[in-house]
Amino acid sequence: MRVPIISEVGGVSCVDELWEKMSEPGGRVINILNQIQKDVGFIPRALLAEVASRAGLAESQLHGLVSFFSSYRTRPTGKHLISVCYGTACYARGAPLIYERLVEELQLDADGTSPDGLFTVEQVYCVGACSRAPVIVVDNQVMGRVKASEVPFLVRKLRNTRD
Amino acid sequence: MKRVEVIIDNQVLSVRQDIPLIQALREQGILLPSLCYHRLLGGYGSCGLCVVEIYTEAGWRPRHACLLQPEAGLQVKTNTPTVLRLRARAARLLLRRGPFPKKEVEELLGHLVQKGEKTCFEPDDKEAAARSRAGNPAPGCILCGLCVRICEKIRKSRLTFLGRGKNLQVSFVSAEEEAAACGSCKACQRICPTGFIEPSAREAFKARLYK
Repeated sequence: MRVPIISEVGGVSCVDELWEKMSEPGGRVINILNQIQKDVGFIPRALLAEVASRAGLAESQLHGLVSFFSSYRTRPTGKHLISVCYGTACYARGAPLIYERLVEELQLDADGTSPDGLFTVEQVYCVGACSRAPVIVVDNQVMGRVKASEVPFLVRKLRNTRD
Repeated sequence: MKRVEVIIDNQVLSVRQDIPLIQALREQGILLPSLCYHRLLGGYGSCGLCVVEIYTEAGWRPRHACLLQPEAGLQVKTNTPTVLRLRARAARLLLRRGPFPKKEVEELLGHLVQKGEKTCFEPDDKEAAARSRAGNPAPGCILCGLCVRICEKIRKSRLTFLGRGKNLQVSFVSAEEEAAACGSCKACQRICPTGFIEPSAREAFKARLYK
């Protein structure tokens, strides 16, 4: 497994280091935010503030930036991340039924995370596998032709997996 | 200070060139309605009330007067049926973001809606209006951006727009060392055209990126 460059604990010096590495001045901030999201799984406020001060921007400006992109997360995800594709093909073939079933099964909060912290469910727009619609992505694994009735089995299977 | 001659409603006027048309006209006593323009912050084009028609190669075209720089020979009409209709439409959309603490705003918008209806009858969709009023998380804020811009201008930068599209909201971003300081300058409160920021930005704007 690839070792994350940034961890939530070692933020400050890592942002500095990363800043030097990123060559393109115009894309620095967004690239660093991408890296943080990749390594930590979300963008902690402390790191965002660090990026802001390194870039000489107001923290509020970065709040606006992060909120603009729906794929940036500001809170940790559950252990399993389930992305339901809401692209046109998947939508037409019943993505909302799958999503609603997941919401019901997992009792998600406003952030899409279940109370036990095991699952986070999000809606994404086209994962690029429209021929297999409706598609969901479970922990980076694409599953096609999903039926809403399969959701409870899937959830049970994920609950029973031990790492 | 360079001046240019422009034609406003068939009259030749000499106006300043270095400021937006809306301000140049104001200095000549021609007052266009606007909620999101402030002379210190420049044009922004969010409220849509200052719309005028200008003559282009393609004929008369509507433009925001706050985003327009006066040029020599520019032909402007401020009172055509198209202008009144567009203003009425903008006003109707803004009214859906109410009710507003400042009653003058509602009077102004209501007046603009009425003036537009004389030129072109557009029935108000009461249901849609009620629906968008009900779904608005911050009634009274028209998202004109004046508070965000003034806060940035005075280098406090505690305000920002959060989200986009129909979820767009103004958010207050607190800072530890400034926790007590915000609320004392009241710049945003004074510049807000609708009186929404009450008693302070921290309390008026509920949206937060980090809960």
